Amino acid sequence: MSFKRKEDIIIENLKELFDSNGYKYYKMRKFEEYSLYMENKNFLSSDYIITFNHNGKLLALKPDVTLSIVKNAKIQKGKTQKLYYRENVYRYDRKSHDYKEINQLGLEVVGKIDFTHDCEILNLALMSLDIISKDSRLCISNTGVIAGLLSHLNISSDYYKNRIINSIREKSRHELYAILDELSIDSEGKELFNSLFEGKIPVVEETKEAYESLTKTVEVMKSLGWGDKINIDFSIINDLDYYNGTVFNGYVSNVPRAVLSGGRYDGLVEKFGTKVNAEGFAVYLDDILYLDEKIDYDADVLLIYSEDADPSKVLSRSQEIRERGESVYIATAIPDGFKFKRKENL
Amino acid sequence: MLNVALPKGRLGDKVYNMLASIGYECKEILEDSRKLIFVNEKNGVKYFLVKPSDVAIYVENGAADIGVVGKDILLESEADVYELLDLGFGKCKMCVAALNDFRDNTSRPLRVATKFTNMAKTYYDSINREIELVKLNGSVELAPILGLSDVIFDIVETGKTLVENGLSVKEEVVPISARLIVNKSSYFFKTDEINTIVRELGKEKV
Repeated sequence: MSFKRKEDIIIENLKELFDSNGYKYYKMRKFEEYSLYMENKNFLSSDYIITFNHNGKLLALKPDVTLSIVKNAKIQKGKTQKLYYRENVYRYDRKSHDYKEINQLGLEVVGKIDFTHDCEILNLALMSLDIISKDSRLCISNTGVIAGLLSHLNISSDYYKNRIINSIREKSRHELYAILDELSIDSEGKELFNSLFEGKIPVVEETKEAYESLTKTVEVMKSLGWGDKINIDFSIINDLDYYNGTVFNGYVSNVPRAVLSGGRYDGLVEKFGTKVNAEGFAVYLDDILYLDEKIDYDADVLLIYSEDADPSKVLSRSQEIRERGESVYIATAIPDGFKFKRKENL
Repeated sequence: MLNVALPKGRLGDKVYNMLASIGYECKEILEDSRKLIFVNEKNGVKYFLVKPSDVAIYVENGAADIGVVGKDILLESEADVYELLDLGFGKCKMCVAALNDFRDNTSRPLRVATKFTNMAKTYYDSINREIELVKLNGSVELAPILGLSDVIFDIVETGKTLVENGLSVKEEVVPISARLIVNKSSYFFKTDEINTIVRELGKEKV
């Protein structure tokens, strides 16, 4: 019988999955210079970062890991690195008006990413979800589809682009049509957007590349047996400046938020000066904590000993019980509210 | 089992009737009681009666798969949910209103009284107008009358309250109506059921 908590088992299995695929564990520095995040605000989901002054430098508690890896991982052209990490990041939650510590386990590939590597990363994402729960879905999109469609229809104003992207993110067909009406987009144009809501890729010159990539990718995943776990879904959108190509979110039933999130982000690495490919994903471990089965018992056995008992007899008996696979709690009396399967008296 | 967050009040009653007519009946909810949760195992539905301003929170956090909420509350809550349908009722407008003879003095920040602080900030950010927010919880029309603010950022339905208090609409910001929202994760595990509901309610809508 294992006394491991469910989330620890998940974490171990994820690490084993990444190790066995040749990914190296990468230990991050605790703090980064605040300027790293200031210069890359769009990549982060929030502006609020915990900072402190150290020897005259303004440092930050990491709100994000990817930026650190991109900055520190000695990226060189011609060299591909496959890394995984387990780190806490610190983000501000607007709703609870509080900073939260978020536990992330993720991987990054930086270097040359061919189609097979793109598929490996997605396959790892699907396997990661499977480790967390048998009832999972990976929703995948390609940034080139929406970008291509906007370009095809000559929609260049940031104001309209942002509103359109927002309505697609919220799956708000009605909002999108209202915006397209404002832009006097004809019915043919509307139909192209409509197909996005159906999970179908609108095929025009500007989306062809993304279309082929997405279709081929899904075919490969299906051939690996993931048919019922992978969806094409265009509401998966991230900042179009950083992400270029595949983007994906993973969900498991009974957890309200995505437990996995990732994508291809060559654009971000390029901002740091090197032209290489980069792709990765993070698993958010905190929501998984709530998946645990209900704890019925505080311990299997409550071992009651009298005040004059011989400590070595108490501890030997405790050891015997544990060797037989039961958990044991020693006490001189039943603690208030303590739940146990059976009681033993020494 | 479909979990539905219904706003207490007229909106919730209306939505319940719509859902009941497409197979999600739960007669218990019509009885006069203080219960907050109603289950009908046969129809596979669980309803919760919730404060209107909390519906989006229940849906975002997965306690409910779907809910109905006014676009004003939805925008203000900034909840990360799917908004799948405009139900077409509960129509009104989010407006900027002020005393009839109001003139904006752009040499100083505009004092804005409102319940909807997030929306007001977003709107005035988008037009680059600096503001000072006065957060109020009700009867916001009083603020400019008593000199507490220059304008109000509030919902306008018929406009009667404004007129009767010597105020008028200066800007119409965004149209509001009841929306059907869905938890993002639930959407992927209950896709067919949710799409059917959207389709059927879409037929019924005003």
